Amino acid sequence: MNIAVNKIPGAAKKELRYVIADLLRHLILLFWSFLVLYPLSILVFTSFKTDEEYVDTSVFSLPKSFFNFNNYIKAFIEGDFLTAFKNSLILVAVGAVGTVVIGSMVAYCMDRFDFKLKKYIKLVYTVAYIVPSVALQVSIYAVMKGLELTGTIYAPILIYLSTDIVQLWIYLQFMEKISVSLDESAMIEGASYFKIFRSIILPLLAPATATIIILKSVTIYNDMYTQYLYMSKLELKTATTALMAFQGDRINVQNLMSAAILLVMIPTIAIFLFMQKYIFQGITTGSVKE
Amino acid sequence: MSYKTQKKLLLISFLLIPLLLMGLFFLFPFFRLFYMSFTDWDGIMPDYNFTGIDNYVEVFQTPDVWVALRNNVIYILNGVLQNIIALLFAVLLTVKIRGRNFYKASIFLPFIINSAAIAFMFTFLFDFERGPINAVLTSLGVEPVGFLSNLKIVNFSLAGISLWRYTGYTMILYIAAFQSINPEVYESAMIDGAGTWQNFIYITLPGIKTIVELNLFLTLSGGLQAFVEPFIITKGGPVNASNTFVLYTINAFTQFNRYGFAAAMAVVLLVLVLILTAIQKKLIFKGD
Repeated sequence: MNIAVNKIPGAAKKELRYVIADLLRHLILLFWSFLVLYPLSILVFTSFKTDEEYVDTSVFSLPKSFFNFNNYIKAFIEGDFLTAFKNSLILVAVGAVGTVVIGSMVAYCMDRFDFKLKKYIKLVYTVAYIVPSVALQVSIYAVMKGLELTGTIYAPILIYLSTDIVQLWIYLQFMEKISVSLDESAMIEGASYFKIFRSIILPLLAPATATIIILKSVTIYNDMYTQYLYMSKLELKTATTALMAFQGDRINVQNLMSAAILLVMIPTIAIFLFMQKYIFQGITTGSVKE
Repeated sequence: MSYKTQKKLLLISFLLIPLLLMGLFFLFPFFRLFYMSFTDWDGIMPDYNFTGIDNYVEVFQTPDVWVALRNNVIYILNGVLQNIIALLFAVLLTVKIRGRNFYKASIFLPFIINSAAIAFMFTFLFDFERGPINAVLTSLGVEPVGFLSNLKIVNFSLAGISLWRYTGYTMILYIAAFQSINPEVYESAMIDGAGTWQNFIYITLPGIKTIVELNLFLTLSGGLQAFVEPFIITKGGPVNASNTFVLYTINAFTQFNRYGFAAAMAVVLLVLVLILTAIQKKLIFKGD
């Protein structure tokens, strides 16, 4: 590198231009990272402050102690977050597992077999992607009322299982890459279609399954609208609706409120920190499929 | 069992429940929505009257609906801005750069955070008296801003939150699009003497076209459907200034039990999304 710089006239100038361009790139990206991370840091600082500290100190100042968990404990108890996290966990677990079962079964049928209904199913799934789900909630809510499921945990679960199609796209993408010759050689040995699905296809779909479970868990946990419509009752509160109820008149007790906000934020942030790869993968494969 | 019978059995047992769910919670509500929009059903009583297009007429004659729709335009324009910023970040991050993973992760981070939690965080950040943003402004000698109380500013504050939340998501899709372009294409173009600008026009842009289209669909129709921020933070206030089309629809059936009217609003939204998608296809992609 250095030798080249010395040999070519004007190269040093060019080098300088690259350094400046590089610096500019870092500045732009740092600026936005700062916009994301600094507000979150202020929230963390505030959540560790005592009431007096919150009133007396600047919002930007560090708390006296990062071991003052009083706000977290108080928020957890007063907001009944134990029930809330339990309900969120049920939604996430049933929703994610159900999605995997349904998604993999439908993808297997759609990719490996030809049948009359196939093109209609494809059409319905495409339409479902374009139709705004918020709009449909008016009539879904009416259906749920008819089935007497409003105000139960079954309503959101049924919605999570039936109307999301991203998982099907992810499975189809992976399924296309699994060679049909594997199925064929298993058939020569007399394996049933179900056996092929269970012992060959499903294991090979494992990376897709991991991606779908993580992505779906985050989506369900973060969903506000469905949970607000169906799970606002006291004993049915989820992390999201519990936080909404907790805010109420605590809007001016920002240190306590910050702790509650962080309690709700932490689970998905933790998942993201450890499983970034799957989330990025899920988002790109789930969207790019045409 | 022959493979033919097996196939039948498998298709029935694998598809029955998924299709039942799809039928019950997508197809049926989908058609039911149109039907409901021509009635005055209140969601409680079993009987209702057919009112023809009355609900639709009311949608277009309610001034508040137009205010809401105008606010959605701000979110849609915000979506365009989001695409520009995300595209810029994606370009910056596709070239080799130190700290690439850090930037990618931190810019994307807001997308996976709980939407209600984000909304309440911004309620704090935007606070008139004790909010950090106004603290900075005051220290710079600027008058504090009523981010959530000023009728002219509130929509921009709320749209700004969605910019904060979704720019990273859009960026990740653009990065994936750039990576899907085969680098050999650039190499052979370079041999043919193509410059950077030519590369961008003839290789990069066509290569990411699908993703640009997808991102625009997501952000523009997302702007039309925006409601989470005003729903949680301002409830559409002050005095209806931050209402959006979907928020108005939600209130119509959850607060006022006007299912027929809400259904008509939802149908209008659906049509608007289709129109927006069609315009986007025609204008930007010259219809393929």
